[in-house]
Amino acid sequence: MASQDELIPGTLEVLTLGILSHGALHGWGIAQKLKLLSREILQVNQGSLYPALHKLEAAGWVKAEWKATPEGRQAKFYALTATGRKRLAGEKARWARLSTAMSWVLDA
Amino acid sequence: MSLFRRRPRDPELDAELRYHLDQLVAQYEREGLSTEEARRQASLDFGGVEPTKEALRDGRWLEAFRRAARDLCYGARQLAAAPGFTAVAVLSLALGIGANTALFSILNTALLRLIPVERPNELYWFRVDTSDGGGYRLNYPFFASLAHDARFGQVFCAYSTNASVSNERLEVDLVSGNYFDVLGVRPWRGRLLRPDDDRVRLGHPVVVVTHAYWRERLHEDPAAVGRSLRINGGLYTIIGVTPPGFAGTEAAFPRQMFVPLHMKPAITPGWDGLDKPLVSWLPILTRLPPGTDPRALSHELHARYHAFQKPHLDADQKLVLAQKEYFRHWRVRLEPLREAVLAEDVQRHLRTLVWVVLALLLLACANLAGLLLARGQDRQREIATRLAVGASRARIVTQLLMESLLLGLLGGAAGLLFGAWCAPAIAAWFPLAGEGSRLDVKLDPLVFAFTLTVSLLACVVFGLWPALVSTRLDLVAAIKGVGGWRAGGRQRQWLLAAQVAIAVVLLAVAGRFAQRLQTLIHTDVGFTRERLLIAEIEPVLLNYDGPARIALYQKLEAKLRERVGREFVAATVSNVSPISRFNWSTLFYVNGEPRGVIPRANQVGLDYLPTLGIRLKRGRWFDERDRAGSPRVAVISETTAREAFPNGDALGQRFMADPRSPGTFEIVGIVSDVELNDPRRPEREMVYFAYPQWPFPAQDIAIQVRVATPAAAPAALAAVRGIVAGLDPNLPLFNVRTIEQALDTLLAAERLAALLGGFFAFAAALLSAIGLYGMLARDVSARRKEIGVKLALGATARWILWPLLRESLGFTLAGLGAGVAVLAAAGFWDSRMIPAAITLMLATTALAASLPGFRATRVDPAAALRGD
Repeated sequence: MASQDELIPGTLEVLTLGILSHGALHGWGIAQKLKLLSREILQVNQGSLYPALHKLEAAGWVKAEWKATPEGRQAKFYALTATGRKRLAGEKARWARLSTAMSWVLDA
Repeated sequence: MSLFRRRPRDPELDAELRYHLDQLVAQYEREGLSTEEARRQASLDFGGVEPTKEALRDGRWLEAFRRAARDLCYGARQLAAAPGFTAVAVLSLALGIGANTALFSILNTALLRLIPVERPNELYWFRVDTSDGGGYRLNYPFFASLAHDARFGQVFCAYSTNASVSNERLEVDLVSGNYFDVLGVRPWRGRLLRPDDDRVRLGHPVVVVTHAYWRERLHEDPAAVGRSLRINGGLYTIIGVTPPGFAGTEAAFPRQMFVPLHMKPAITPGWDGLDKPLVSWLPILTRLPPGTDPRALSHELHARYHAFQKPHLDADQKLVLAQKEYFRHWRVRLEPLREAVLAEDVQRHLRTLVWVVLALLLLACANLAGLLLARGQDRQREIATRLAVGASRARIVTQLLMESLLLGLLGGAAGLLFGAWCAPAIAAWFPLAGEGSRLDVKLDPLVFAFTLTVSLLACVVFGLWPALVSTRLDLVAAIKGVGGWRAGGRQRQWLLAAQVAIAVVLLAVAGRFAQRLQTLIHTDVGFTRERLLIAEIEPVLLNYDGPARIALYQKLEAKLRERVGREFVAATVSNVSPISRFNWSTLFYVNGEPRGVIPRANQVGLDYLPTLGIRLKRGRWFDERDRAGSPRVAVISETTAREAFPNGDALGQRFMADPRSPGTFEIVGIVSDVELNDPRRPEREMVYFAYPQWPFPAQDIAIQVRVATPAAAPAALAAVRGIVAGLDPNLPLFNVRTIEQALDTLLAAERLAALLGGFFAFAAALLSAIGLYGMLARDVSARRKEIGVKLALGATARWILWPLLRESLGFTLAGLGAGVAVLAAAGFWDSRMIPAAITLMLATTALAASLPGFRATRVDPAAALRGD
């Protein structure tokens, strides 16, 4: 197992939106995909993930629906809404700016 | 006692988390762990579920909503547990909100929906202000001069008149050709009038009928369009039907059909006036494009009118100087149609009623606040305990507010029902111009929104205060159940005083309304009003011209005489119908000198005096000698005699009544004064003419019949109908009524004010009594222990009751004083109504206090001392 880092506070939201931009997923799937795409550096436990998901849902950035999974069980799938997509674009740009700025500072 | 219920399970969330856990287990199993091992590992990884749930619940809208729902449920249980309290609170609110809903729905209909056309806000009348009031009457040549001037918007006109249509007398509008286009009315069947239908004088015998007429008289016959109607004897082709709901620009004054304005000479036989520039008869309207400044345009219109009028005025030889002056001082301006459609006295009464119902709502809210305060007192221990175990004050206030919100919704719903029930009843009493007019009150979304807003506002505002008071507690004392029972007591007393004050004001005002109505009904009008029947005919509509009309009236009089002593005891005719809004006035010149206008002029038949019961004071009454060709004579009232001839005998004097018709009338008799038209506006100056001698014989005439007993009325009426039909079978008999009915119509506004005022005042008294009762009943139960001790010590009833009632009595008296002071300050001082209102209020108070008082003396000391 690669070394794991705590998520930087406030990033779970944009990461979730980013993951969901590829298609609807349930909570478990989101956690797995986060691990996969971050090459196992980033991980999230359910205690943070689900409150974050519900917050996104309440904000109207994602919508949730109960659907059958491939193995035939019911799971709650989350998908981006139009406003969520807009939000993601804004957040992405912000992160790009921030991380560039940080690297300028740290590499100076 | 479970103050805090366990949080309810959230199955959806559970399922979601379970799915996650199961996936984790499955992953470990795939990695080679045994099922049991996988589970253990997964549980370890997964961590506690409860904190997640907790995190999920906090700071979420959904949760806030759930909490509100929970509070609502809690509140509902609390309300259900106190049915007496709930019933009283809901009833109070229902009364207050219902009254407001009813009035609002009437206002909504009357003011917002009365003009059933497109964008009614853009419509304006040409209003004329004159030295003696004013109105909306101008003339056709002026209209024609504006018709193609776009600066004044789309100018159109509509003149409302009566016509005889197939033996019925109907309301018909003579309208300009662009009328329907400008109003934006589309045809329901056929087509409507177009500008081309209104070009040639007497050249367009076409008619558009309303949907109501088409339904009721033509039985929705699709083939009716194209057929003919006989109007005033002439044939008119029906070219179309207006859509349902359209009956002219005033919904309260429905018309049945529309005829081109150029047909006027045929529709109003006897007078033409279409080409006369100085005859005022035609209401002109316009639709102004949005953004027009009506005030600036009014100035332009005024200048335009006088520029138009001046050459005509200068050229006219017949008008006397005073009349020319009168025209020169006209002020012409634009007035929104919306403001003009409701009669002024109706508007005034509506405004009064708005204040009355608002006062009633305030009373209901005061009741609610008082009840909530009392309830807060009763729940002190519970609230204190919850505060002590850490519930925030905001939380408890929210919960208490939820309770009053529920009350508000219940009260609002009940109020809506109550309002929906009484609005049509009130509207039915509503005096509107035009016969057969009525106000169709509908409950539309606006009314619902209004009721909802009022209820919620009332409850939040009047629920917040008691909630704040109830949660401001001395915890220790409250939990121990000692002291502190007064918290909120003082506020309630003030509320009581305010309620009593409002109620006494409403009672006094309502009493005054009722008294005024009684005075008007029973005032001595100078003639006998009992057992008098009235019916009218308008022979001019069937083209009876001057001499033929007089001949018809004389035949009518003769036939009526034949039946006197059979179906009725006396009968006569006159052109002014007693107790009505319509009358004639006359100019009065003595020796060529104008003596002003005599406000009442009456063309009467020979039997007028005995039939009406007017007394002859001096000289003689008209008789057979006073025919068309014989020397012209007149009879005047005592007041006229006194006013017009202050220093001499009026008898034998001569006067000229109309400069257009030279020749004088000799005064041959003086009769007692009457208030013929309207008991509210005593006009005792009156001149009587024998109708055959008047140069312009009355176009319509009122038949008046005195019957021996009210039971004889139907037979008398049948006889009158028979007589009229015998004279001319096509002559419609209309406005058939008894004098009492006429009085009802005339005094409808006063009756409405008296009825509603009385109703609302009693509701107010009832509400404050309920408030007092609730307060005392609660005090008695709160002080049972104290009363028990006193009783055990052998206290008398007085010793028990006095401390209980003392304060309430004091505040009631303070309220009475404040109410009387308000009345006095408003200039309302009535030495009969104020004591009556005070007495009634005191009696109500005593009644409200007696039941709890009686219960106090019946406290069982042993039971009371054993504790709660």
